[in-house]
Amino acid sequence: MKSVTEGELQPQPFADTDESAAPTSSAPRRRRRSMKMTLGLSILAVYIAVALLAPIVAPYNPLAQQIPDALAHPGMHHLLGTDQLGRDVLSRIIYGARVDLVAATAASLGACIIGTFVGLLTGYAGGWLDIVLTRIMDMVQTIPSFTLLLVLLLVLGPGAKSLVIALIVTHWVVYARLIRGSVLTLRSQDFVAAARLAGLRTSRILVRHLLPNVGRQAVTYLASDIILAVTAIASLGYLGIGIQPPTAEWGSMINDGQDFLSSNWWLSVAPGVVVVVLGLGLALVSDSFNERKDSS
Amino acid sequence: MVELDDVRVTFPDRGANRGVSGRGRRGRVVAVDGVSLSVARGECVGIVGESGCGKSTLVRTIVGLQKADSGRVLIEGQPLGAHDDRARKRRIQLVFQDPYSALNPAMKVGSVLGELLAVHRLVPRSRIRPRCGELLDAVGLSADYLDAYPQALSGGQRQRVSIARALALEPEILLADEVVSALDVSIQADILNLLIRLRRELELTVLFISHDLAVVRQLCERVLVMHQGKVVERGSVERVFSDPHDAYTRTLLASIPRLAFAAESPE
Amino acid sequence: MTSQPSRREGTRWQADAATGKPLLRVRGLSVTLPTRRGDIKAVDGVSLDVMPGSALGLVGESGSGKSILLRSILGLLPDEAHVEGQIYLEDEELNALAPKQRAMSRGKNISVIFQDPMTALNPVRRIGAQIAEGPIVHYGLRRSAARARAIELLAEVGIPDAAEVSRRYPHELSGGMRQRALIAMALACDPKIILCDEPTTALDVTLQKKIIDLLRRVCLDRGVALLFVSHDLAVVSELCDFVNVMYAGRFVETGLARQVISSPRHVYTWALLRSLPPVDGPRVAPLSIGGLPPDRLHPPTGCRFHPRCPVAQDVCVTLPYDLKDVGNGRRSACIYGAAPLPVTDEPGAVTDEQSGVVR
Repeated sequence: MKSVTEGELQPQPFADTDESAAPTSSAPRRRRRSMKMTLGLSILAVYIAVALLAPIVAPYNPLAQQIPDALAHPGMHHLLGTDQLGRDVLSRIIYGARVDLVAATAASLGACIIGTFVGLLTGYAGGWLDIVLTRIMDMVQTIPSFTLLLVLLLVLGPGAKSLVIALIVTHWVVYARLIRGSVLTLRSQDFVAAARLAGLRTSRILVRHLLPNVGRQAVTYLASDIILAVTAIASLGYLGIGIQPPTAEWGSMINDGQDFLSSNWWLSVAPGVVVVVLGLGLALVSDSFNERKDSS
Repeated sequence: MVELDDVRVTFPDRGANRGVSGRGRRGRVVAVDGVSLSVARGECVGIVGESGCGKSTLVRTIVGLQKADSGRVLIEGQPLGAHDDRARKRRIQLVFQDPYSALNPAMKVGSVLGELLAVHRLVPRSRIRPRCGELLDAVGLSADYLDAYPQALSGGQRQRVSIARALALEPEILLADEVVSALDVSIQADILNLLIRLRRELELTVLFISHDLAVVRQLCERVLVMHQGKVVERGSVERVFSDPHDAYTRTLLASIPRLAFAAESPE
Repeated sequence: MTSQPSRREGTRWQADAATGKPLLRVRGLSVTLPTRRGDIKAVDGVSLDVMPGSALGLVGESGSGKSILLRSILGLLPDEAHVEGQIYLEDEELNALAPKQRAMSRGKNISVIFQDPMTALNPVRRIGAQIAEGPIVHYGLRRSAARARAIELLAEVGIPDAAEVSRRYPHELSGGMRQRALIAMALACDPKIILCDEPTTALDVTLQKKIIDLLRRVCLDRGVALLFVSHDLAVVSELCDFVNVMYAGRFVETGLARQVISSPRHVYTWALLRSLPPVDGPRVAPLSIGGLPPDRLHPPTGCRFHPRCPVAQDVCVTLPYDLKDVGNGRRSACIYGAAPLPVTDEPGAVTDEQSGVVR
């Protein structure tokens, strides 16, 4: 009997579904999405480049005080003026990128890794492990995060390292819950049972089978988490508890500039805008990444 | 080859289990109620029943995904232990009902098959990909599909991959849990014929679970009819179809929609 | 010509039942759905008639467009869908109506039974109230009268203790009772036609039989027409007077059920019939049709079944679609339509040796 063999790989737009009404993106929508992604990535790239190339890009030493030039208005010598100690604002912003970006990324990544690990374990294992760890997560989340942060900083002492640790401790729970939820849903899928039946070890199932499916969610949240971390660092800096002076850090810059809002408003606003634009970049990337996943 | 001795499986009653078998004590639902059966090497036995009769639970108990409350499950004379070594796990494999959840959406077909071959060290590393191609060929798919993700495949193709995955470990016993139920009628015929051929070529022992008596009749020699957790009838396919003893079996047979007019003379 | 149609037993629709006015007429219906990869014509220039009181079965596999066809009659397609063609209920053109009027006409004259009873019923409203809603809206019945009617209907569909059941919520009913309740709901407004979208596919076989018997009885008693979409030819053969076979968005064969099934005039119909494992009689191996379902983005030219057809000829690749009369009120789009098909049946019963059976 003449027949086309099943070997020919043909596009199967609807597999076996009769309800073919799946109106997904059209070409213009896709273009908009990649524009978003490009814009977002460009912003992030600029930030990363600036942070890496700080010594080359910054016109002045961010710590160099030039008291006679204090509170200069933006001009030829100092594009964004100087602060009350005569330090060049632009250079401080540039060097601030190093501090804020690194700390925020480290904190978020750390939280992501720990949280994902815990989420995978509790979601898959269930039983007493799940109960115990979930209670721990509940406890951590019950304490207002800022209070917890402050307490931790008090205990660990000031400085960037303790800041990162404190942020990890407060942030990991969200990831854990997120991943745990996804794993719980996936756990009952047949392919997991098939993997178990095939004698695959639990660790392998977690890493090779579950993680690729749930990991995307963690990464998406990571983008917004970095923003949150930056905000947290900046807020703590603003409160004077985070990164200590004289290190250039956006939050403390905003804080310091408060006293001069009427006369030298850019001292606070410039670093503020920088934080906002970073958030924008992360949001764009995260959004377009998410959209792409949905329609694929 | 496979032997069940008075196996009983219950679940805690969560209230949503209406329509599932009888009630047990203390708020437990009895899914499998003292089932005994034995399957000889090379046989193809069908288990039929409607939803809630316990056949799926029974199958999962046989492969070890579900623990029985009481009774014994013996595979080749050995009881199923909690810590089976890998080699034993290979002996018996299961093909699942739902083609859409049976494959990991994040893994390519080739990876799915290759992983099993690698973990169980069934072939040397260099031979893994060719062997995966052979497996796909055995189920009627071209080797091009090795690089495809499950999303690109139709239901029938996914079931074929599922079967290939089960066969990758070279089992001696194959359990098929409603494997054609989610497929279109014409694809069902494809998969059925595939199973018939594979069974012959690989000398498999097959346990075929289905709610569709006509399909079971096609594939199996013996059939067990389950109702509310119990086996209400067993015997050869011919006998059960032509002379059912049990009332439920009779009802079941009478309810199957038959193609009317098929025997009439053409107009 | 018979005046009182009855299905399965007794008289059936005669071949010349084309006299008399159709209740539902569809002409040249096309539904195009935009997707990521392009536009898909889910339904491609389809026309059908449903006579009052008769049952028409729409048979096809997944992706054939039968469900979309049903929904387009109801006006339940997504906004992006592009619909062409006309749909007439008695004399009213449904497409031309404003959505509100269409909904009114729809509610009163057309009822639907979908596949999944759990999602078709509102989980937070009692059964009786849901059934009563239709008559209240469309006939202005008072609540008490509507509730009483709901109880009557529940009893009519074979639910014992109807008054008590009408006060229950959907999750308190078994699957079979839910499906019966759905039928009661479909009958509530005295519709002229009930559209069914695979209502028994998800049901157990024993339940399916009861529901089919119920549908048949109820529709005969009330003279309600049925448009029954299914992939199951056996069920359709038991319930319907007429059958239209659908493939890749088009009808390939239409006619009286008994004619189409006893002597198909399109190779696809024949292949479909032969792919069913028989319940009675000799164990014949079911036929594998082979090939893949047609690519809906770029369907095959000419007859869409030709890539998978065992007896296709060169002309089938270029043949324009033409559902032509082949006598006795039947229609076929196949070049072999006018005479019995030149297909040889598979060799008889499969021997034990061939199937590997060990006794």
